[in-house]
Amino acid sequence: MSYWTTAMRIVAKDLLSEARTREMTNAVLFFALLVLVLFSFSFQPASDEERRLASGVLWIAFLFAGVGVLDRSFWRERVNECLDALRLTPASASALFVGKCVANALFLLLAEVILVPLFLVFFDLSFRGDVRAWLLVLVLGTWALVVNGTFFAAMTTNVRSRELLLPLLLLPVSVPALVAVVEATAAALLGEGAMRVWIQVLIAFDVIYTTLALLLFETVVEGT
Amino acid sequence: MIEALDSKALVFEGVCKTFGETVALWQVSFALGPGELVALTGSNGAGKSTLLRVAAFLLKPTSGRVLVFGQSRPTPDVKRRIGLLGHASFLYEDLSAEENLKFYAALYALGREADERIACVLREVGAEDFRHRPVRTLSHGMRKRVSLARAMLSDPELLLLDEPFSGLDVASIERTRALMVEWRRRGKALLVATHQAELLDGIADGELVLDRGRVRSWRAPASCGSAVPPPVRERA
Repeated sequence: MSYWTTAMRIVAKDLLSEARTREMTNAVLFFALLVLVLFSFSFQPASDEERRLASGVLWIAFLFAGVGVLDRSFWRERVNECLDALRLTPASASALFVGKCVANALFLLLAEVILVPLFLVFFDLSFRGDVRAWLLVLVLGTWALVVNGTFFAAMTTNVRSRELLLPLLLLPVSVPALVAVVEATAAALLGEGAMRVWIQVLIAFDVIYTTLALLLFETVVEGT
Repeated sequence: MIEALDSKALVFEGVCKTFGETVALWQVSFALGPGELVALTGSNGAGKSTLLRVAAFLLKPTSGRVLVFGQSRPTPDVKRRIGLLGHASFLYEDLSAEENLKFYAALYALGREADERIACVLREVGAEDFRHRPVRTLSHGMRKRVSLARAMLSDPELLLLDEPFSGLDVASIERTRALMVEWRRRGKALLVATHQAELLDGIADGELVLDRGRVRSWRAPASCGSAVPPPVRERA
């Protein structure tokens, strides 16, 4: 079986499981929506400075949604020790990692597709800059969160306080990507600023951390 | 000697496994050949499950050597030749029995044979009637049968079974025993960890008894002969 077919099997399995239960989608969407609603009551961006602030609020909502998605991503493999069953198969560990990343990215992108229009309505905002470039930022930023988050979720899957440990590991590592997405989103909302530079930062971040995670994932899931 | 060990399905040579200060296995040595069934017994915490996990390459031994079909590393080819029935079911709760098997069949790259193989293993373990039911709705015994079907999916030559009779009714126990006899007849090597050693009376070729991670006794299958490394007795 090819590498990609294995990865896509993992994606299909995760999507089917989630479609049956909707446990993760419901919880994550509710939580992220709550963040947006609460912030929308606290301030309405009138000036450019406040618009810049709003871009941070949007990514805080995405970040909360992302941590929720990632925390649950290896939970399914932990129940009934399915991760061990995956390790027993001849499938490549890195194909498993890619599959989990793609599934997590799809879950998070789904949440983002729902949250972005609501964000624009709640904060009475519109994009003054290049929307297509911002969509690229959205995808690259989501992958940046997902690739590190999936790696750390696998690493902490058997740790008792994993809910606490996952954000503690993920957030510091993701700071460069978070700065880039917030700045790029601000540039898209304001219609000024160098979005291109931040896209380059995100591409570099994604390439570096995807490569590292692919190289190290097998070690992470191997037994002690 | 090396040639003799290569012909074995499973060889443990002075295997130790420790978790920090806790000794799970200490100087365990034995060999299991094709067409042999060995009972692995011992009280709770004796190290039976750890031994099976080490044999399946899920745990690395702290010291010593494990050979599966002459290989000390879990290559994809070796992995296809190992079937493990663990304590946990290894099944996804939200998927049906058949969906679980299809998923694993894909990871074992069974290709076009997958559907035929799934039908075959479900029939063998008697799980055809509930193949479309989600695993979360199955009883313990039903799950056990589906787990056994999953372990058999790649038609492995080495079967590592952890408590295969627990939670099964009398009819299912008889079916499982009959399957073991049939698998042994087909030349598969079976290592069966159980508290119900009497259920293997008459079908087991040998017995390995563990006591706090050490080999308390080792009755080797007759065919093992001199190729079997001598068991290390419990140290004072």
